[in-house]
Amino acid sequence: MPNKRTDNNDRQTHNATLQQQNDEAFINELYDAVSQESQSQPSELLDQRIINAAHKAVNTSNKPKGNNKFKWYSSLATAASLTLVISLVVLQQSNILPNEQANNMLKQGVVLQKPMASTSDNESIADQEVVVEQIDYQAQVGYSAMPSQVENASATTTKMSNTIKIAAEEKMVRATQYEKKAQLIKPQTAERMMAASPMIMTRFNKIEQGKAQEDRAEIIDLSIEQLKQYKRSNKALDTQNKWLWSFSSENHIEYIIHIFNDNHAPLEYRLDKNTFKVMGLSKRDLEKSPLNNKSLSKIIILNTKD
Amino acid sequence: MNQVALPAEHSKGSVTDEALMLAYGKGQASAFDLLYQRHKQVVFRFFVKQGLSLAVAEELCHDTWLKIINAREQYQPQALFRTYLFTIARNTLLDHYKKKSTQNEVNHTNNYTDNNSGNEESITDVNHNGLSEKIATPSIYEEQQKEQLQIALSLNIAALPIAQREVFLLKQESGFSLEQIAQITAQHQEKVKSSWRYALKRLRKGLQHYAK
Repeated sequence: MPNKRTDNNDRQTHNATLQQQNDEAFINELYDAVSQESQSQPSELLDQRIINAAHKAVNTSNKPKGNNKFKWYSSLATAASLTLVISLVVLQQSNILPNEQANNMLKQGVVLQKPMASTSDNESIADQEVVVEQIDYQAQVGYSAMPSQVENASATTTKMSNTIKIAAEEKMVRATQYEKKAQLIKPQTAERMMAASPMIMTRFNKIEQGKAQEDRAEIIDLSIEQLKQYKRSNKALDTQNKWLWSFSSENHIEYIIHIFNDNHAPLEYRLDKNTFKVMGLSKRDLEKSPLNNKSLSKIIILNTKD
Repeated sequence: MNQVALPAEHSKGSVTDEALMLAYGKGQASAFDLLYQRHKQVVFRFFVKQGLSLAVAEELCHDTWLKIINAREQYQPQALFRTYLFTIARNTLLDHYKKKSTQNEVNHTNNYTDNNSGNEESITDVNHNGLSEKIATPSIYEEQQKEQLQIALSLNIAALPIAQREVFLLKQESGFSLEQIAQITAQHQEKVKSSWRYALKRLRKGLQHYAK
């Protein structure tokens, strides 16, 4: 049975092949009968169009020197542009804008509160000093940055809720708190330093002494005798013409005051704290001292050995 | 223009198509002239025999050669240039069909008959009857017979399905082997063989009146 099937298949294949060969022969005969001259050809216009296009393409690409020059210039221009852009980006990153810096400082301010709160008296005073300076700076920069932030926020978030404004206000309040803290902490720092670390204090004294020496050439030291003389002279003068003084500044070693009467220009004196004590100086006096002239009796002599 | 001298055998036609195309890719414009002269007719006939009008056939021909021109620098002689040429021609034709969304264009022999849209019986009858009605001297009669045969052949080829028609034209008109056609059309060789067989059968049926 399988042999019969195979035979049938072979016969069918053979017949198909024969049929195909006949068909091919038939078509070939017809093709031979058709005149070759009558076979269609493309028009001369088409020939011309194609050949012109071919020649034009070659002519265009046969100007490589000009193109190469252009490529050379363009690559150079690209390289120069890239260098410029990169340098601008680097410059911008190295010089951060004030607003961005302020934002960064404000963000850091939250972190800086924690070490302050946990600082005990035994901890490093130098760290406290750094913190004080940072908070002071934040307060200054924060104030300058806040208005622009608030403006920007209000301009861009007119359709948004008030949450952004509230956040901005909170930042403003925080910045104010930093400033107040800085004012409170700063005067106490020197005293704490004295109590905490003699080494730091020594260094601090040296710095202060250095500063004082710079001013020493211009400011006169007030001696006990001179003060006594002023006081004696004052007793003889009328109330209106009495010699008065005003507070200028103070550090932990000395006071700087101005002594003057109506007719003369004020004289600047340095009062050693070991020898003199200036009474009645309040915070208000420190701020408004140049306008508040005081009696010489407020200056007390501590050490008569001078 | 870059006038590089062609090899001595250039004019004799012994330079291969591939060498000519490479020379053209390097800027030798005259190489293209020769290449075009060799193949312009087969490419044109390939389009005309698809049943397209002469204008459309010329347009497709132009597009095909432009593609060859534009790709001259990327040409790699991995196969025969003719295979490469007809692959591009076929793709151009398929693009045309996609654009027009039609498979049968108006035949350029439409002047002779309005019945040319695929009805094989009517094509055969009209041609055969038209031929028998004519009264002429023997020489004129032969000429007219050839003319009628060519028209009938073109009409019957145009009436073939696309797959069979392209296989038939590539083999019969352009002289490609079935293997090369499979390469051009990106089809399996058995499918190409089958298309060829059906095309022959169909054409024979349509043109049986012309059997001697």
